[in-house]
Amino acid sequence: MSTHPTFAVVGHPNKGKSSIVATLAEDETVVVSPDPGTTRQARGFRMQNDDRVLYELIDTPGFQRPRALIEWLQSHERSASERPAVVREFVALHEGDPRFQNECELLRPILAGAGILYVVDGAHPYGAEYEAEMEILRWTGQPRMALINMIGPGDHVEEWRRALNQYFSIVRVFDALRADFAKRLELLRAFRELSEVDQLWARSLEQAVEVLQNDRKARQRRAATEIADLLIEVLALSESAACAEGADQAQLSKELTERLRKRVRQREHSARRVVQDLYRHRSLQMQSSEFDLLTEDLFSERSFSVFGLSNAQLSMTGAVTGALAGGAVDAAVGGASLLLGAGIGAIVGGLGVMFGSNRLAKVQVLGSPLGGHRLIVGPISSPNLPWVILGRALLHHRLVAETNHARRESLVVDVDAGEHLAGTIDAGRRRHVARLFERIREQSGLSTHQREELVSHVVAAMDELGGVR
Amino acid sequence: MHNARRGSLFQEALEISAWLEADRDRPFDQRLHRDRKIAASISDSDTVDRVRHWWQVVRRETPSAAHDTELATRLSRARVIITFSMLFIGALAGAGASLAVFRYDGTWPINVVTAFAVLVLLQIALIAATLILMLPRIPGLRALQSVLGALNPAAIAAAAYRRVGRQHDQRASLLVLHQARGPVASRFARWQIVVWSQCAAVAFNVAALVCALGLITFTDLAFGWSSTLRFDSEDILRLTRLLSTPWRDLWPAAVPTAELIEQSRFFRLAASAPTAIAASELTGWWPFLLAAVTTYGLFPRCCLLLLAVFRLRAATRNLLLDDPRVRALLDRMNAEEMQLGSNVEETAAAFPDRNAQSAPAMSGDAVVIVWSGALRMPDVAPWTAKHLRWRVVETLEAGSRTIAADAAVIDRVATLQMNPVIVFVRGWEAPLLELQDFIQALRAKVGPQCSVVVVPVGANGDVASESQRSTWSRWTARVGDPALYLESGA
Repeated sequence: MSTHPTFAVVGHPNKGKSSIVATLAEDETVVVSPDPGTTRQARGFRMQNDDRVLYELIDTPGFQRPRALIEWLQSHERSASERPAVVREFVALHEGDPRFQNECELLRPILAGAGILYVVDGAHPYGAEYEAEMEILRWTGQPRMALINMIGPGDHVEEWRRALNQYFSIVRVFDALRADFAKRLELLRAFRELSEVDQLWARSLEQAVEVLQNDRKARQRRAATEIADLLIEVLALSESAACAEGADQAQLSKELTERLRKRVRQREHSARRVVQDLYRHRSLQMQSSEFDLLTEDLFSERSFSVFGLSNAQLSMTGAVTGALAGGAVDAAVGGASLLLGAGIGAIVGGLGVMFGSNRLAKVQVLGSPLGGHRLIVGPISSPNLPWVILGRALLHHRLVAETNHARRESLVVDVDAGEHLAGTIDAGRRRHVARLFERIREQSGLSTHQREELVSHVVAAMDELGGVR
Repeated sequence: MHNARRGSLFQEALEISAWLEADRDRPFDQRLHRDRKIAASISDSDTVDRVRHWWQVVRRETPSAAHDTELATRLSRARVIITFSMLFIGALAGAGASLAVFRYDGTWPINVVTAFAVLVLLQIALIAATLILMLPRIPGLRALQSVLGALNPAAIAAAAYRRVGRQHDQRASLLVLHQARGPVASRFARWQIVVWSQCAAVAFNVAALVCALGLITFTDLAFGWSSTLRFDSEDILRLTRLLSTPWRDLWPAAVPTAELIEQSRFFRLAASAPTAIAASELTGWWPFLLAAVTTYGLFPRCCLLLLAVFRLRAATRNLLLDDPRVRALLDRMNAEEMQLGSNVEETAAAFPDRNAQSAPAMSGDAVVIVWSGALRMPDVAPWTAKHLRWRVVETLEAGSRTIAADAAVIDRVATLQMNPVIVFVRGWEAPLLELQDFIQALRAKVGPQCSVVVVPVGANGDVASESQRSTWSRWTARVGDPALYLESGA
C-alpha cells in the first residue's frame, strides 16, 4: 500500500474522470475531450505540502472491454478470497496486450494499493453494462467510492444511487464542472471516510483539507493585495508632457487624458491576469454573457452604472468623509465650533463629489526648476472611478475563484451583478475605503500600514460579495 | 555575460523592481517554488539582506533585461554624478566665499564681523532651515517646508535627476522614485535632497577653511572688527567668550582677548586703518574665525550629512521593502507551499477531425441490432420507420449480455443476409472498443458490401444531440470501415 493516500479515478470513458482530476488538482492543462480514448495512460496528480505528498489522484483511461475482462476473471475464479490475486494475474498476463491496454493501465494503480473513485454520469440513465465494470472493481477488494458526475441537464441520480450502493460503500454526487471550493473540500473529507481503515491516510487527508483552506485564504489575500495595488497605482497615475509656449493646451490635455485611460485599462488587465494566475487559471478566457459585464470598457457609462456607486451613495460617502474631516476640526477646538466643522465638511464633501463626478483627472501646468513648463493630467480625481475599478475587480475575483479547472469553455459572467456593485459593500467599510482613496490622491500612494488597511477592506468586501469559502 | 557584482542598494532596488515586474509573467506556482527554495538556502535574518541575497541567486539564473540594468545603472550613476556635482559646487562656493571674505589689500583690515556673518551666522540660519526641512510633514509647517524645499539648491539637482529618468518614458514610471509609492518615495526623495544639500554644505565649509588657511599661511592678513551698531568692547568680549565655549579648553589661542578686541576695533571714517597696535597683533583673530567656522559650520554640517546618509539608507531600504513586488516576493519566500499537479507529461491522444459518411440512399428492409439497450424493443420499428424510413425485418439485442451471446447475434444477422444492418447505440455513451470488436466481427460475417449503419439515439428515445452525433461521427470515421455509416435520423 502507498504511504500517502492514493486514489485511482476510474470508470466508463467520457464520464468526467479527467474533469474531476482537473478540478481537484486545479490543473487546467488536463485534456478534457468528448472523444473516448483521449486519456491513454494513467497519470498521477499529487497534492504536496512542502515536499510532503498529502494525497495523489491517478487519472486513468476508461474501461474499453469490461465484459471480456470480467468473463476472463470469472473463468479463472478460485475463491472469493483470491479474487484480487486473479485480477493481478490478469494484469500480469495481459501486460503489453493492446486489446487490454486500458484495463491494465487502470487496474495497475489499484493493485498497487490505490483507493477507487468510480465516476458515472448521473445526468443520463443507468445501464446494466456498467455492472461489468463495477464487478471488476469489486474483485480488486480495494476501498471504493462512487462519484456521480453530472454531464448535462438530466437527473438520474436516484437510479444510479440504487445501483451503486450495491457495489460501493460511499456514493457522492460531485458536479466536476460546477463544483466550487466548498464542494471540493467536502469531497476530500469523503475520501477520508474511505480511508478510515488507514489512520495514516486519514490524517494525511485531514491535513490536505487544512492546507487547502489555508492556501485558499492566502490566495484570496494575495488577490486582495493585487486589487489594492491596482487601486493605489491607478489613483496615483498621471501623465505629463512638456508644454511649449503657445502650444494647444486643450489638445495636449486630451491626448494625455487618453494616454492615462490607456494606462488604467492596461493596469486593470494586468491585475486580472495576476488574479487568474493566483487561482491557476492562466488560460481562462473571459467571454461576455448577454450583459458583457467584465468585458465592458472600464470608462463606459454602463461600467459606471453597473460597478460604481450611485450618485446618492457617492454623495453620501463624500458627505460622511467630509464630516469626519470637519469633525476633526471641531475636536481640535474642543467643540467650540458647535459641530460647524462637521456640517461644513459634510456639505463640501457631498457637493464636491456631485460636481466633480464628470471629470476624470486634474489638469495643471507646472513650471520646472530647470525651466520650461509641463502639462500634467492626473492624478485621477473622478470620485466614482476607483469604485468602478473595485466593483469590477471584486466581481472578476469572485468568478475566477469560483470557476473550477475542469471548465474548458470561456468564463461566462452569469451572476446577477445588478446595479452599482460597489454599493453592496458595507456602508461603514465604504467610508473607510473612501478615506483611503483620498489619502492616495493626497500622498500619491499609501504608507505600508494604510496599504494593509486597504487590503483588509478588500478581503472583507470579497467575503461580503461571496465567492471564497 | 552578466556581471553579478553587487551594486549599491539603490541600484539593486531599481533592478529588483524591474526584474520582478518582468517576472510577473511566470506562473505564480513556479515563482512560489523558486523563491521558497532560494529562501531555504539563505541564512540572513535581516529582510533586506535576504532580498539582496535572493537577488544574487536569481540574477545568476535569469539576468535582468539589458535595458533595465542599463537604466538602473544610468539612474544610479546620475545620482553619484549629482552628488559629486554638489560637492564641487559647494567647494567652489566655499572657496569663492572665503576668498571674498578674506580679501585683504593691505589697507583696511578684514572685518571679523563680516567674515563671521558670512561664514558662520548665515550657515546657522541655513542649518535651521535644513532642520525644518528634515522634520516630518507636520500641518502648519508644511507650507514653510515647501517654500524652503523649493529654495533648496538640491531641488534643482532633484529636478535634473527626474529629467534623466523621464528620458525613458515607459520605464521611468517604474524606476524613477517608484510611482504610486507615496509616503515612502517622498521620504526617500526628501532625504536624498538633504544628502545632496549637506554634501554641498560640507564641501563649502571644507573649501572655505582650506582657502582661509591657505591665505593665512601664504599671505599676511590683518583682522579688525567694525560695526555700525553701538557695541562696546565688553559686549564683544562677552559674545566671543560665549561663542568660544566649545573650543576654549581645546584651543585657548582661538579665544579673543579683551586687549585684542579693544585694540582691533576700527571705523572706516577714520583717516586711516588702525595703527595703534603692532600689525602682528591684528592677525590674532584668525584662530577664532577658523574655530567658529569649524564648530558652527563644518561640524553641524558633517553631523547632518551623517544623519542624512543614515536616514537615506533607511529610506532606500524602505523603498525596496515597500515595493509591492518585493512584498509579494517576501510573501512567497515565507509562504507555505502547496503543490498540485502532475510530474508526468500529458499523453492524451489527438484524433483527426474526420466525420463519418452518411449511408447511401437505400430503401426497403433492414435488420436492426440494439446495442446495450439503446432503444426499447417495441420502439425500434416505429423509430426506424419515422426517422430512417426503413422497414425493420428483425430486431436483435447485443452488448448487454455475454460476448458469446453477441457472437450468436452476428451469426443470426449473417444468416438473414439483409442490407443494411442498423446498429442502434446510446448516443450519450462513449463508443467502446467492445463495440468496435463487435462491428469488426459482424463485418467479417456479412461481407464488405453490406452497409452497416450506426445510429446514436438520445436518452429519452429522441434523436441524438448535435454533440453526441459529432462524437459518434468522428468515432465511426476512425474505425476505418468504408461501408460503415452514421445516420442520426435528425
